[in-house]
Amino acid sequence: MILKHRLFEKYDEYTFKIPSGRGDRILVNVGEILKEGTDILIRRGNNVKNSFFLPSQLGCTRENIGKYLICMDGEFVERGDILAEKASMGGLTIKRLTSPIQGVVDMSRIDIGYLDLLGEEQENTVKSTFNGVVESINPIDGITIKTSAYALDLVAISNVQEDSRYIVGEFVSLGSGNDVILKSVEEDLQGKIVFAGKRLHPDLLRDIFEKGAKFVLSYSMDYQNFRNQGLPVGVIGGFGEIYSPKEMIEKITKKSHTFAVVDVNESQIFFLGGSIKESIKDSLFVQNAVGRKVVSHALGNYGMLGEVNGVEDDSYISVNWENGASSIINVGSVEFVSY
Amino acid sequence: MSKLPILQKNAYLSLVLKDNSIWAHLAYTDYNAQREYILSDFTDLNPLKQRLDDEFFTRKFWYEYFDNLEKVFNWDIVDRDTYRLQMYKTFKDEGVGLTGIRVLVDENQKYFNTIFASLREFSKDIAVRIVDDSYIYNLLEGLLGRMEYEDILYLDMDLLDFKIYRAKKIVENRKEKTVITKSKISWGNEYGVVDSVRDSRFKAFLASDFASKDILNYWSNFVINKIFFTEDPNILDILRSYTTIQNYSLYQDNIDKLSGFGTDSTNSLMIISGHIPAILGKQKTLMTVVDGLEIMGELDCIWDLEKKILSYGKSYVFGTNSTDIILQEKKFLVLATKVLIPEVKRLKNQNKVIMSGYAESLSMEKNEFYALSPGFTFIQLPKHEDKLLVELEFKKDIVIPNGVKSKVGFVSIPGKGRYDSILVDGRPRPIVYGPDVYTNRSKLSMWLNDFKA
Repeated sequence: MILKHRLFEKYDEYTFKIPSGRGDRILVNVGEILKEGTDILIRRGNNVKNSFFLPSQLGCTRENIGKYLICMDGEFVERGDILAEKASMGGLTIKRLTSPIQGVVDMSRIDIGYLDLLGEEQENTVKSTFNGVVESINPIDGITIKTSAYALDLVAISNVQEDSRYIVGEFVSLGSGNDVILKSVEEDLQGKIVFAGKRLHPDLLRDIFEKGAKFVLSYSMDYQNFRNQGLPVGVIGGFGEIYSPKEMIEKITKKSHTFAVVDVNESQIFFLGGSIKESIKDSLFVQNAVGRKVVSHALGNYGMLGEVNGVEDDSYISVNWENGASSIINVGSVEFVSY
Repeated sequence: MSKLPILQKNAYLSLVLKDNSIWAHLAYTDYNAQREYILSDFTDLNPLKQRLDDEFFTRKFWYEYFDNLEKVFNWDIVDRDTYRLQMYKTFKDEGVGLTGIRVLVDENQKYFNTIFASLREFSKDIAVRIVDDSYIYNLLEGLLGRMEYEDILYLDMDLLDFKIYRAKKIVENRKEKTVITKSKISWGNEYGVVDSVRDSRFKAFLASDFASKDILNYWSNFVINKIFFTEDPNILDILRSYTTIQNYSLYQDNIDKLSGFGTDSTNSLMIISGHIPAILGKQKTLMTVVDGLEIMGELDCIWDLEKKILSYGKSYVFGTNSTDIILQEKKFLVLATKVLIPEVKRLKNQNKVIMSGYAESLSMEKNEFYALSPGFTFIQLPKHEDKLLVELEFKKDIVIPNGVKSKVGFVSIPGKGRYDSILVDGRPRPIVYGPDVYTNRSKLSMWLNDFKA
């Protein structure tokens, strides 16, 4: 029997937590029903004015950054102050990182290699993008909310710190998701979960994290880059230059500017609230292959979406692919999918 | 526990849940009418792998599973009126009801506890058993007692786990006893498997040009998505190399447990199971095993790719004392391969015939075959309904190490011990791979005859 992979699995009841920090002002009460647009809390914090990826600035590994830091977390620095320094060639050459602005040093992302300089304090209102109920509020867990959600499975997830098993934030998509881009046009991605599109280039990854992102999602990327980059990244489709189904990319980009939770243990991202048109829950099993959607796992067109138009025998099906081609393929080389 | 009357009609369903997959086997017997068969089904749970621990994998899933299984087997299974109390229909006749359901859950199955609890919640009448080392030990000890073998090797080859169990009869202080050992390699996650191919040792076995980073991308997609079918020569070559290294590492780390298989005894059986053999095919899988475990001699090889031995091996061992179903050997043992690995000296001339033989039966003309050195020759025997007599002889100076014989003869009996193929390894020892992919490509092309990488 063949099981279908529901690409977006609806959860009627999904509980998550919005962490609240010191100085944040919570605007909701326990038991309160949240609607789209409800103000949840006012977050007070300093905006990131500059970010530096120290391994590339100093030419060192993430593990060794501590050896070269001159400044301290929370220190107020003036323009021209030295932030980090690395001597090489027996002290003959010195690489220095100096502060381009006046600001406060923030080392909250130092584990992933980033040193941030914070500017003036700002207040931001966090608004609900979903309907739900406030279940509890406490200083440790923050605000616990029950809502509906759509889960999207990630084939791989990398380098998330032990204390960040859940990453909560606004989900944003860079453009339509169908173009390969090397630099984000968005200037501020602080605290956001960013969808980089169908393919993630290392330059774009660095740019997104320099702009303050918490987590980056991509349909595909190179396996070696994935293993070597050392940043929190999730991959939806697979590795290498694979096909990314247009329909799928469209559905993901439509979720832009909604709240999302990355569950690291489950390797899933939950888009809170909202609805997806084709969300009728039918059987988990494929009853009749003809007319069903499949994603190819064959090397020639890996990741391509198609529709079954015939069954040849027990093992082979004929498929019309999204690029207009059609072929006969072994059932073991495809995954049956639904939304 | 009551025993089953031998002539009683019986229909029993056994499920094996292992490596995110379910194998279902419905066995039916009616010895009065001389009817006995097993209906089989396979379900890959990987589309649900990130949901196996949540509400989806509960009673509702099982209800839907059995509901669909009914349609596949064309057998009334689910009791829709009282499914909360006893979910399956009591056995009435062929096609209606079951005498029992047993689910074997592998101890290493992810979210084991949740799955176990969901089965319990679904129906209290399903017998849930754990497949652990002690289950396999008992099964192999039983098979050793029931079958005419003295040495059994059980290989379970999955991408993340390689396990080899060996059950061997030995005589100690004039008393016969069974010694069972286990050897294992386990990767914590898929990344370990993907990255393992960057190991320099790996290149010694490879016959594809692995310089391109694309191949690493293909391999990672193959491993992470657990693909069940591929014809891509690069992936098949990486998988063959990876499997050979895993077997070789197991052999080197457990040489005292694994050495001498095939030569220590004149009656050796190898049972091969797992995800990898299903993709690699019989010939290449046997090559990874023979080279990895440095096997010589004569042995039988059974392919348990559908987990029938895991499902019904114990029923067979218990014979008429079985409490679930009484099965004859013919239905649960799948077709076997006769493996012959003689000592071959390095020959001056390539492609020299080292063995010739024939197969014949009452309803079939004589089929002749031969094997060359240095070939790794896989001979498919003709399909046969009558007894098939197979006789083969190795040429001068070429002998099978166990028993030092140059002639081998066996009978394939449909319904009892049936062979569908013969493997003759005519490569001179020691087997040397490398030093580079191009040399390997040429060697494999010679060994496997039609190898393409």
